[in-house]
Order: sequence, then C-alpha cells, then structure tokens
Amino acid sequence: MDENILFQTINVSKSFGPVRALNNVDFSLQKGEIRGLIGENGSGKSTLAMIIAGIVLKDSGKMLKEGKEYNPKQIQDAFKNKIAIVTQESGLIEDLSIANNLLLGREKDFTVNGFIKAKAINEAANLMIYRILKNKKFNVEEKILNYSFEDKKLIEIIKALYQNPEILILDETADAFSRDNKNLLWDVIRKVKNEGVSIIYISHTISEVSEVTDKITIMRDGEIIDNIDSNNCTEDDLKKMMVGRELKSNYYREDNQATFNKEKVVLKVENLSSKDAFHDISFSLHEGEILCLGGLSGCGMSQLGKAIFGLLKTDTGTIYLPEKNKYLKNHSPVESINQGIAYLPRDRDSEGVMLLASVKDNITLVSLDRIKRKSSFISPKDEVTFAEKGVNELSIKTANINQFCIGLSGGNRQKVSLVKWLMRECEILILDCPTRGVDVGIKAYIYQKLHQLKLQKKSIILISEELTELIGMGDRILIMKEGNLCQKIFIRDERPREEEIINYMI
Amino acid sequence: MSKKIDKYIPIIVFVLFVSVISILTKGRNINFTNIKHILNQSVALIISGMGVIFVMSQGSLDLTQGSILVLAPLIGIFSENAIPGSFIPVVILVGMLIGLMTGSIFSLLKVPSFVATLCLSFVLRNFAYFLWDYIPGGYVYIPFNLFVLDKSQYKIPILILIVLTMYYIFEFTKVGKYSKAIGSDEKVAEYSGVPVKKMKILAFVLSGMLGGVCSLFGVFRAGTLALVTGHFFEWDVLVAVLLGGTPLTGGANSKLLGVILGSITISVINNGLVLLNVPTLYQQLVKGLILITIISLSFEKEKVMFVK
Repeated sequence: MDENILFQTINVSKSFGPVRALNNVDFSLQKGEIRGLIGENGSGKSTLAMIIAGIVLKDSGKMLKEGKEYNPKQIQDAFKNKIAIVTQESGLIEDLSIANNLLLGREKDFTVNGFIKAKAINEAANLMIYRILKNKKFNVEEKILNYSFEDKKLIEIIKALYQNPEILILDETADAFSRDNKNLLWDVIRKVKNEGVSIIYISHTISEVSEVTDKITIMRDGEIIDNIDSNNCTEDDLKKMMVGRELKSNYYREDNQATFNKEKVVLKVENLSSKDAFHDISFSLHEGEILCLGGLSGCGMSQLGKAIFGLLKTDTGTIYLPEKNKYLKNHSPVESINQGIAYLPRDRDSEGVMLLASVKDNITLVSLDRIKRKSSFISPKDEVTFAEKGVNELSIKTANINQFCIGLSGGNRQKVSLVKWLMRECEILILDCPTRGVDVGIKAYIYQKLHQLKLQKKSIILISEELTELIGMGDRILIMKEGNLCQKIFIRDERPREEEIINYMI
Repeated sequence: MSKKIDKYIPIIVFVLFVSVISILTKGRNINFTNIKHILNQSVALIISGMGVIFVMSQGSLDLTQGSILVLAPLIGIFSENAIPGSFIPVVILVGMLIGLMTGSIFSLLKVPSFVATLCLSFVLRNFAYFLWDYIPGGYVYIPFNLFVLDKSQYKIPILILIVLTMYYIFEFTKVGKYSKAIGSDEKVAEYSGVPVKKMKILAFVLSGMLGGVCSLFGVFRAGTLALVTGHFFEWDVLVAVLLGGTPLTGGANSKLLGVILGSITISVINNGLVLLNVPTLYQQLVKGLILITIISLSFEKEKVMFVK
C-alpha cells in the first residue's frame, strides 16, 4: 500500500430509495493534497463527501483512514477521526455571536467558578480568526445573522480548521464567493495544505478547480470516471468527462454585437434609491436586450432586482414602463407580474421553489390566472398539460409531474424555478444568478434559452457575480459598487475584458 | 413513515376506532339510531371544518370556532329582536366579521395564528358573557319557524351544497391553490405573486362564515343557546382536519374531503366515550392523547428544517 495514502474508500455504495447515488466508489486521498471533486448535479459528489463526514451512512463498502477501518455513524465520529466538513447548508447558529459559534461546545474551557468568561471567549475567537484570515476583521461579538453568506462560510471554515483536521471537505463553499473572498479562501487552503492537511474541494467552477487543486476526481452518475493531474488537463476535457459528451467550449452566445431595439425602452429606472441597499440608480432596458448587472456580493444589485419586482421598498425615484405608460411605486409582486415582469430569485430553495409541493404545483403557481377558464375554474387537465409542457420545455428530470421538488437534484430545481416564469411568457425577466449552483450541462442549456428569449424580443436583466457570464451574455453590462451604479457602461461591440470590468467592481 | 401508508392513515384510524369502540361497547354503537346520532353530530364538525381547512392548509390554526358558536347566534338574537327575520343573515355576517378581525390581526399585525386565535377565543367568549346580561326580554329566543331547517330533508342538501362549493373552491380555483402554496412555502408563494396577506384574511373570513353557518345548525338542533355552547369545539375541528390527513403544517398535502371522514371519526370517538361512561375529565385526556399521536404521525418530518 502506498505510504502516502491518508484515506480511501473501497467499493462504497449508497442508494436513496430507487436512486443509486454511489456505485462501488474507490476513492483515495493522499496526505497534504488538494483534491478537486467535480461532476454534474446529482453525480454523487456531495453524497460521497457526506458519507466521509459521517452525515450520511453508506450502504456497503469500506472506508480506511491511515489503513485502519473507519466507519462513522455520525458527524462526531468524523471529528474524532480529524475529518471536518463545510457543507452547502449553514452549519452555524444564527442567533449566537461569532465568538460563541466558533467556540460552541468548548465553553467549559472558559468557565471560572461556574461563570463563562465572555471576554476570554471573544479573545480566543479573535485569535482564531487572525491565525487564519490575518487581515480580515470581524466583530466577534456580533450575531452571525448580521453577516453575509460568504462571511458565514468563512467563519465555518475557521471553526472547522480549529479542530486541527487532517482532512477538510469543502462542499461548493467557494462557488458563491466573490473574487476577493475566493482568493482569501484559496490562500487559506494552500497554507493548511503546507501544514499537511488534505483537502477535498467540491466545486462547479471548473476553471477554478484546476487552478487551485493538485489532482481532480471526476464523477458521473455515482461513479468515479477518472482521476487526473490538475496541470495536465484543459477545462474542456474536464467538462467532457463530467457530462459524458462533447460540449461546445463556449456555451455563451456567439455574436459579438449588441443587438437590441435601441428605439424601444421597455423599462426605465430613474434615481431609484432604497435605504442601505442602493442609491440613485438610473438605467433603461430595451426590447430584446440582455442587460447584465454585475458587481461584488453586497453591492446592492440583488436588492435592486428585488425592488424593481416589488419585493423591497424604495424611498425615492421611479420605475416606469413606457410601453404601458405605467409607473410602479410601492407595488406588489402581483402588480409586477400583471405588468409582464418576471423575477427569478437568487436563493433557489427558499425563494424559488416550494420543495414540499409537486413539480406541477410549482410550475403552474404563477400562471394560474392564465390556466383558469372564464368561470375561474381551473381544470386539472389544463394544469397537467401546462406543467408537462414546462417539464419538456427545459427537459426537467423528474419521475412525473406529481413528484415533490425536494426529490429533484439542485440543477433540476433551478430549472423548475426558471421554467415557471418562462411559461408565464413575461416581457421583462429579472434573473438573479440563474446559473448559481448548477452544473455545466444545465448552465449551457439556460444560456441557450436566454438567447432564444432575447431573439423573441423579450428583455432580460441578468444579475450575476460571474464575470464570464456577464461578458458572455450581455448586450450591455452595468457594474454596481457599494450601492452605486458606475458611470461606465460596457457594450458588447467593444468586447469588454475581465480585467477592465474588475477595475470598476473593486 | 412512507408516503404510501400516509395516504391511508385517515381510513386506518377510522376503522381502528370503530372496531375498538365496537368491541368495548359489545356492538352497542352499531345500530341505526346511534349511527344516525353520530352522523348528526359530525355535521357541525364537517361544516366548520370546511372553512378551517383553508386556514390550516396555509399552515395556520383557527381556534375561534367554539366562541363563534355562541357569540354569533347571541348577536343574532339581538338582531332578530330588532328586525324580525334577520337572524340567519346576521349570524353568518357576524361569523364573517369575526373571521375578518382574526385574519387581520394575524396577517397585518403578524401575531402568530395560534396565539392570535387562542386569545381571541377568550375575548369573544367573554364578550358573549357580557352580552348575556342584556338579552332582550331576558331569555334566549330563537325563531321557532327556523327549527324546521334541522330536519334531514333540508339539512342534508344544505350540507352537500356546502361541501361541494368548498371542494370546488379548494381544489379548482386560485383561492384553494394559493392557500396550499402558502402552506407549502410562504416565501416562495409571495415571490411568485401570491397575494399572501389577502389570502390569509380570506381564509379566516371563510372559516368565520362557516363557523356562523355551523352555529345556526347548532341552535336549530338544540333549540336554544347556552354560554357553554361550543366549549372545546375548536379542538374537535382541529383534530377532525388532522384526522382527515391534512398535515399540521398545511401545504400541498391538505385534503378537504378528508375533513368529512375526520369529523365522523371524532364523532365516533366522542360517542364511544359517552357510551362507555367515561367521565368528562378523562374524555379530554383521551382526546389529548389522540391529538398528540396523530400529529406525531402526520407531521411532515422533512419540513421541520423549514419551520421556524
């Protein structure tokens, strides 16, 4: 046996009901390596990670850590064996301060005469953060819920590292990060790698995986397809292996010109402000335009999308629909929808899809007044036809339309979230990170769909943190920074480059 | 608990209770008079449940039903005294107004429905106590000519009409579908253009309205009204809806027609406890245990992580 092998799985299998999530997986990890783990949604990456971390129990097979059998029954067993995981979900308690979260369960060490020394805990927490993040400052007495998603994830990583793990698993942790925090995270990973920690790095962002890892494991349909050196492969190779078929290397739209009806403005936003979120925003959206809105997380672009749709109160300024000669002020989503505006929220599972309702109920929900007949009667037959059309429209993988969405993979949930708006046939679509957390196959599909919509003269506001997406899809690109809109507008004809855009973002 | 078994729980529970009570009472519960009695008892629960299901499908609770049963007819008596013939419409209207008030407090002031409706049930009942001293003429007078409505040939068609109307609204219109969507995921519903606040108020208005209708049949049957009328009735309705297969969290699995079976089951239990001479005190104990068992069986466990 190779001396350097720290951990391996032998013939590990796992099924969820009729679905085979892992099929005889042999996976091995060396000491001090950063291993990328990639695959489409539902390929088994997360399942493998959760089995290693003791969150999910394997059905069969064996796991060895340093040659000894390792059979975790719960996450604590993994801790004892020095394996830590940062999952896709939040692992922190929202109501507690950062310090209390970091040292949760260790209060005993800070107790004197039965009293917990809050000051000592805070100092220890500060030290933990400093040791790992150096320059980044947190107020450790502040409650977790006041921090952004990214900051929470950073805190979770610090917490995981505090246990001195030998294996650290990051499940899509970096995927939703801004550029700054990604760099920060990678520095941390490389540093702990040098201290001998092995890292399993799960991600959808292929280009970054090959950049940051030593070796990459590709999974497909619950099996490991290959393990290859990160230096030794191109992004296209990886994608091909993941999907199992040839993918166009560029899945964005191919034209190089901004093509939209410059004469026809469909949405005009003027001097729009919302306290704490964004200030004095003005722009116009034209017919058949994909207007991209980019920036770092927390720049206010998501809130702007919400405000236009009527989910966030605005203080001053106007939202005007010239085609209908209609001003929207303190409007509700109901009114926006009636005016032909669709909004795809950023957080799929809590805002986009009803997990405990069927695919059918989800798809029909925003279109019920279209499906209903004159007498307000909603025919079950019409509903089924409508939902099935939606499922076919985006080739959603589901057993049948009565399946609850909680049983779908992440990518297919995203498709449901998107298709319910496509079926509504709105004229204006506000899409907040429509490809967040989906694999390349589905991503390509969504881009293709957006381009089709554009050709059908629909207007799209595409909010995204991914530069390549902004450049790849936008007719025009607007950049927001700290709640303000930058003066500079990038136009597709000028072929904006990433470096240029970044300058305006930071 | 697998999905397949879940579906049959209402029927299993029904058969179980009928069998157990039949054995314990040595079959005394199965005869024409008693069955008729049980069905008669369940009518009130069914009517009331047809409204409450809208509230519960949204994942909320309505505990004002019992107090509506006394307050609505009481105000009706005042009104009948002033304007003869106004009894029925006023009772129904009062039910709706109570629903409107409950719904508004819950939806606009954002007081959790359990707390809001529990407190209101006390307030409403106390208001009834207060009004009781001012009853015109000092005695409860319900127009005699209306008692005829308690006869089966009127009652059954009205019941069927109510069930069919509510079934239609619940399964085949936006109101029902939006209600279930709110129960499945309120935030997603709001983001999808469901007028959440409006729907919540509407559900309580429907619930109050049917509470009013229910109170009518109650007084026509009893021929009178007492301050204790409808005590603990709201809990029987709640259990009836749950026994019908609707989860406490509401949502897509809510079943309106299940309310009928659930109501009959509750009536069978109530009737059985009386036949078995179980003291009133222990009756509540038995029903409490049943409620806990049902909720633990039907509560959608996956949803726990989404319920705050």
